[in-house]
Amino acid sequence: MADARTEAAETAPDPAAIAVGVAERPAIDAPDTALWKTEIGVLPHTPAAILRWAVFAIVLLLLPQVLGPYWLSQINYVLIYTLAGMGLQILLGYTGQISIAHAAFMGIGAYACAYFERLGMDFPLAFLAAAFLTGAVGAAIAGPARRVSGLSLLVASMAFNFIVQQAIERWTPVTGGDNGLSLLDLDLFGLPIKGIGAHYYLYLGVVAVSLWVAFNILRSPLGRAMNAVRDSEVAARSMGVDIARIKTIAFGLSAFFGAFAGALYAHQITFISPDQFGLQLSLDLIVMLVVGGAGSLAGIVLGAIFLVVVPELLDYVLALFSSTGEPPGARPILEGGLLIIVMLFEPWGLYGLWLRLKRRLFTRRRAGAPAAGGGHAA
Amino acid sequence: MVEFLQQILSGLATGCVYALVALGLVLLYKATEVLSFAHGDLMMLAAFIAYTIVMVWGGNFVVGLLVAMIVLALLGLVINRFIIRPMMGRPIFAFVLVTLGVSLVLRGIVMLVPIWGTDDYRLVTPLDGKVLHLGPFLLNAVSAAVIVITGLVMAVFFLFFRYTKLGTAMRATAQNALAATYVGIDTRRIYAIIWAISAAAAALAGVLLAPMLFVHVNMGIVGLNALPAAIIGGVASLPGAVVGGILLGVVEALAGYYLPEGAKEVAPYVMLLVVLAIRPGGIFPEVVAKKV
Repeated sequence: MADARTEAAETAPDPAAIAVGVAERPAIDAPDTALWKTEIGVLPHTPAAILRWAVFAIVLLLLPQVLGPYWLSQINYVLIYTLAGMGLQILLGYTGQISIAHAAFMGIGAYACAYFERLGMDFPLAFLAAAFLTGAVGAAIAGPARRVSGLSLLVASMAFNFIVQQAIERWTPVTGGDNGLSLLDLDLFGLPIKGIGAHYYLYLGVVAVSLWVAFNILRSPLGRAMNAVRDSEVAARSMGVDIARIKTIAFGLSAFFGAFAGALYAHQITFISPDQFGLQLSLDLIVMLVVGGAGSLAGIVLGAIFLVVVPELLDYVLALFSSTGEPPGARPILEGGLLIIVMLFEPWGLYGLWLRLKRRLFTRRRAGAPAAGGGHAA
Repeated sequence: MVEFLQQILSGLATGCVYALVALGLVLLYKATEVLSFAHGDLMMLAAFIAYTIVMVWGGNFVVGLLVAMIVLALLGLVINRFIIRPMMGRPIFAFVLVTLGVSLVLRGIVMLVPIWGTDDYRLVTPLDGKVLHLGPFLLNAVSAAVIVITGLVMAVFFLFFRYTKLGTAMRATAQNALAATYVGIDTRRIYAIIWAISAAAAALAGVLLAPMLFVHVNMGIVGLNALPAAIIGGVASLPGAVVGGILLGVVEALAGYYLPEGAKEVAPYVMLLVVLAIRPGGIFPEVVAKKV
């Protein structure tokens, strides 16, 4: 158990590797040093870690040279979903507020960015303005949202998502209504961003900076206060945490990063319409967090890959089994079945699976290390 | 004024359907802390089963209804045994997602069955086309039947929970599962029965809804409206579910009649937010004291 915890610490630079309501929290029977190690693990600090990150960064930078446009655009979606998942993680994983309204934030961000650009703003300005606007909306709904919790919050957030979607649909002068809105070409301070490769670098930059900012926020007293609110509101209040303030900030931050994801999403597909930001997307993002697993950064990325790869995989499988076109209903059955199987058999998600696999593969090589038995906290 | 009351009357029937689904949801949530996103699609499946029996095989409507309810109750048992029970104790999100998976699979199965597929079907009842005149008001017979049946079901529920041993055991389990096991209640069995009842209630709602709408793969979306109904009433209150459901049906009907297009779709959700803003615990809040 202690072993698993330490390993998690090395791979996941996440101070509170906490299941987003994925499973029971890991029993913290690991020594405190393990937690401490997690914290300083946020930035690479050993030569080996720096080397690993450097290699990783080079691989990321070289991807457009290696991959074709199709796969590169899929990678772009992975980046966007990662960003969205991170925003959701602030609210769900860190502050424990069960919300399925993230698509609404993405939608507001996407439309605001598109609208501001149409008004003649430069992309960076429109992008930030959209994010701040959405953050303000997020903070505003925190007012009513913090009065409820648990199931009520979940359904109320669903209600918010519906209402935003309807509002987008009806506010035709700004949003184009059901006809949708096409995005203007991207340029960064006069430098045109054309082609998937250029988009990729832009997204990569935004994701890297956002992750860095978010993780630093989460390691600050604010992040600690969020965790306290998640674990017990009563205890947090007795320790002097201003719960209303923390929840408002959490909603605001979550919406802020959601808007980043939404705006990038809009530029990636270049055409947005209200139905893209419905409950389905919100639920997809939850699937991503939970299936990815354990609420770690690595889990979010794995979840994002899952979200992008599974439809591809289904296409492949269905093409394989039927020469006469795909049987109706096969797709939902496979999708649903996969979801059920992951939830039943891998409560720690793909990331938990990876940790277990890694332990299987590498533990025995270490001299004197006993073979790891049992699953990772499962 | 007559028009206004007329709208309320026609909203009642839809409200009753919401109430039935919400009842199933609240029952589940109260006893097992499981929120099911599959209930809409349980409704849909039940409607298809009844459609097949009545319209394809020429069976009696009541037989169709009963068979659908029995099949769905069994399905509820299966879902409980093989999916929910192994996951007991996991957070609410886990159940939201796994029941979402169930709902996708159910939809897929309905699409796969050749005589079902993705077309619209009509479920004809013996009451179709008949209209009741109640003073100045008109109420079609199907809606009247839905209201009466819902009323009966509510009465049965009430008596069952109040006066039977099993009902008392269920209430005990819902209040405190651990304490219930200490006094000898087999909570696993209780959970199974609750799933069966909950699924059967969804089936009843689905079959009653079918004559008012079309039978279609996506009719489960209506079940989504039962969620606000359950919350409006108070998440852990069975009478609350009924009141919430009926209120929702009525508000929806009024919004559809008096407000511009699109208002009907958001009405349940706006109402939910309004109610939560005034009474965060719903109309019948659960009284809980939280210990640190």
